[in-house]
Amino acid sequence: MVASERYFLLEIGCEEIPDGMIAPALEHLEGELTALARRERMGDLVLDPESLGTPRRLAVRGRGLLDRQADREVEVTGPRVEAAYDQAGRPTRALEGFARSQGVAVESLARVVTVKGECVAARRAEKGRSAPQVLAASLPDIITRIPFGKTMRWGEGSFRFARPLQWLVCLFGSEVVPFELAGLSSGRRTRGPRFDRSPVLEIADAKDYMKLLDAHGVVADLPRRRRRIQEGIARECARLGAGCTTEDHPELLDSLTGMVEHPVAVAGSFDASFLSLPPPVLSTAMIHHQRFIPVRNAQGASAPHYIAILNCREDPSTLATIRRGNEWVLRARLRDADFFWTEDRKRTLQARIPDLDRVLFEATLGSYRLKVERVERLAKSLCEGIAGRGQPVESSSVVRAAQIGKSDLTTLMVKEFPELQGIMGGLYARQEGEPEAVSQAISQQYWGTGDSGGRKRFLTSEGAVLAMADRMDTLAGFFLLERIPTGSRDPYGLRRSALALIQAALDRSLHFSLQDLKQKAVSLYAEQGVQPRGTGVDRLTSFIEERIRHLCQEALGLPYDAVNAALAVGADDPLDAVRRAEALQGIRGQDDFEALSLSYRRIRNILADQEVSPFMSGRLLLKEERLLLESLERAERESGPLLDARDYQGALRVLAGLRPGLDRFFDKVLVMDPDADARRGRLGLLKRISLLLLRVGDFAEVVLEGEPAPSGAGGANRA
Amino acid sequence: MTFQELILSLTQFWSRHDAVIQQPYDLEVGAGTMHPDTFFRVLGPEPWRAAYCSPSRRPVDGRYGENPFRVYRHYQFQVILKPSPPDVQDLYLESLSAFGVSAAEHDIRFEEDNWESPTLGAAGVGWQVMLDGMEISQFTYFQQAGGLELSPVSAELTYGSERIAMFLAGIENVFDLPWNAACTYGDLRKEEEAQFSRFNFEAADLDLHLRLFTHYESEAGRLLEQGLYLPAYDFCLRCSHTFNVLDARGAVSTTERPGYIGRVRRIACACAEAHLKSREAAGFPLLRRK
Repeated sequence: MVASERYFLLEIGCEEIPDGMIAPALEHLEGELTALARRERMGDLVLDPESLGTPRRLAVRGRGLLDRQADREVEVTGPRVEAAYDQAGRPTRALEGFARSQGVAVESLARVVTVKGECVAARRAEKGRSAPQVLAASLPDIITRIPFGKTMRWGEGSFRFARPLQWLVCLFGSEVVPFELAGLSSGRRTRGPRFDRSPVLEIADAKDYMKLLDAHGVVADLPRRRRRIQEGIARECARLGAGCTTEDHPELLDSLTGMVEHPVAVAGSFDASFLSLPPPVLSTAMIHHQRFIPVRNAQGASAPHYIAILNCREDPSTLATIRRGNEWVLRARLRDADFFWTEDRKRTLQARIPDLDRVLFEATLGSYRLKVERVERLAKSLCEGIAGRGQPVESSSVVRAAQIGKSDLTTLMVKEFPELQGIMGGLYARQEGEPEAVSQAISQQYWGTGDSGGRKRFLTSEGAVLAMADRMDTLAGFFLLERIPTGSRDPYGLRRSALALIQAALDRSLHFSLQDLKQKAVSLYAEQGVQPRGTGVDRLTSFIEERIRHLCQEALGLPYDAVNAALAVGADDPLDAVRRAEALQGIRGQDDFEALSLSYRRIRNILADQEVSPFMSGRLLLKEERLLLESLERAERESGPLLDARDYQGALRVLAGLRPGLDRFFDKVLVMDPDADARRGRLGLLKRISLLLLRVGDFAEVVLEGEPAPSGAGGANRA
Repeated sequence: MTFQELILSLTQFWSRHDAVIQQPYDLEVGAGTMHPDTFFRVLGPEPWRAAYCSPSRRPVDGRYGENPFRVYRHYQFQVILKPSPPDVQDLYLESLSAFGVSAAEHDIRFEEDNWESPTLGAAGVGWQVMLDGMEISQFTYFQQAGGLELSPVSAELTYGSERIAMFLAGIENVFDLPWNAACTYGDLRKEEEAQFSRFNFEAADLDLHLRLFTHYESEAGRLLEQGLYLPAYDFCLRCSHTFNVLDARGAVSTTERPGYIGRVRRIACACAEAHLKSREAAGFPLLRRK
């Protein structure tokens, strides 16, 4: 049977569904429909290349379906032969029952051999159903199961959907695929855009769908709609003047694409006096409520313009009316922002600290006032820890930033625009004449949680340290309360917090001890009377280590075995662990390193059950032993300063020099010598080598070329 | 169009569409939803349509009459349609033409905005309606009220009268809005905004309001025990407003907040259940008029 030339079309018409729900719903429909075609022997449904969806319609179109399923013979296995016939060879009741249930005569039953033994089987011809029959039977269920995050009921019905259903179009070519759902019958009538009073449009044939919608101004194709928006923005920018550009907000474009059926870009302006507002405030006032796209001039500074994406008729008088309205609303928004900016600065961040008493961080963990006090002390101790490792951080700036860093939560601006938390704190601190390091730290404290692409790198160590202390305080608090993420559930964003904590240390190359930081955080909670509700907090270290592993593999692209090797000997100082993983990865593939890895595995096996102290002094009888000791002492001497300086790549190159000595040693020397003294000396020598190597990583974790990866390997699966 | 003409035109439109034209409730409410003719009528199976203008007091929104856009007391125009008719969106758009707004000449959008009132144990799904970028209405399909799942579902349309009137007149300060030909919104209301902002933020007696809250709460409980759920609900509204004053006055910490809200909700839910039982006992009288 050949595939039909006919197009299949499903269009679910609904009241405006939220923009974020469109793509996942389409994905479900597209996947289920292609799977249905395959499962029901209806050929390959080849979907249109682009997804079709607007706030008012979810659509799937494709071709390649067979007109009908092929007829086929169905075979149903019945009772075993022994149970089917009695000793005289007459049919038993079981057999008769089976034949009856299959609608065939006993005489027509065949015999087949199955795993159960020889059985009787009924064969009957099954007529293939037509494509519309098959589709109509399955579509209500497929539509009902669209996974929307939140659903609702309406009217007198009990059916649930993202928003009320309004119409159903389902066509196979020109033929209606008839089904019923939520009190609606499928048909061929769709609706045009709201600004034309949603006219009823008849779709004669599924192949005409796009043409028909286009003619009425509905751009159903999602990618094409996004392109239309981008082209409109570019055109409007050009009209505003040479060099004008829009700020880059890809998520805003996505959400705008999901909010309109007929996009029209229109530039508008606001009074230049508002340019005295800080750029983040200006942009947020435009984006947050209005979804206007902020414009920059040729010098990259904020321009007194915006671009709006409208959903309307394109005649000049309508566009002028709407632009007037848009500008009126934006003026009110900017006035509000200007009012907040002026009003907020009447009280300093310092003066606002007591107000944080009334801002809740978490019911048991207390207010933000308490959090500020904890973070201040935690940040101070972190500064000391970091300084102890030779990297001075301006402790006074970090402490000051911690003290006043959350006060912006009480400002009118942050209450109106929560996404400006931290940013406003930084701006207000600068206005108050706080040192630049302080205002920068405040503005960066929430950074480092975005994915690698859009992530902002920490610009100052003070900002990084403040962020680290803040995140550890949050992590410790929620782990104390046993609110630990499981599977995909992470309602408090703790994975992101842990990731940001590590990322901050890496961005600014800060060495610190995770364990010390955690213990300090826990002790600060204890002082406040917050006791652990269970043993969860013990798992915090391994939770953070998992994030290090994740970051090494996902963001830094390091292979799992190098990461395992590095983390196996400790991850208390995340930056150090990452540097060791990078070094191990850098040297792999080199001959000497591979040989050294093999020797190390041998050493590890030999030492496995032995109580051995490293060789310090004593008599070594054989030349190979003495040569190995010499080469070990040289390696220790030369690698020592490199290891101390954390030049792990350099150190590994030196350690690779152990190879010839080790090879000869294993060739010529019997380690487990019957003579106890000789044995002790040799084992001690190997112990000392292994201690040296373990300063970089557990070489046995490294998978050598040609070796299979151990099962369960790949840290990514473990999280 | 003056402010009062706007309210009149909406009243007439919904009167033509079979709504009972009610008057505002004579107690302080934060929103038209708290009116007994919405809160109780959305419960149970009886059909219902009502429209009314509801002065709504939100103490924290007060700005001493000095902000051109924000007031402590605003006038919501509230419509409740039960069950939600299948063409309720078209009906809503048609209602805008009552004051001269045609969908053909504007950009009207329905943007996701789900509504929740923890004090009433109520929640709904819907949109904020944007007219050329300006939020003019809240459009909600009630899913739950008084802690009870609703069936049928009601549609609630709430028009922000001041905003719409300002937008239509192109006026940038609410106090300049013409109320009628002779008076502005400011003439009528500015002093009230200033005094009540001072009251809510500075002058309200904290101890008295804390005591009032407790007294209102226990009175509601006592009345509920006697089956007097309508008077009990009045005390529930009084609790709610007293809480709002305490909140504006800065007397409620974020930790205490959920506690107060929960206390009001418990009364609201008990009233809702009592109402439903009483209607059921009466055989849901409005069903028979269908």
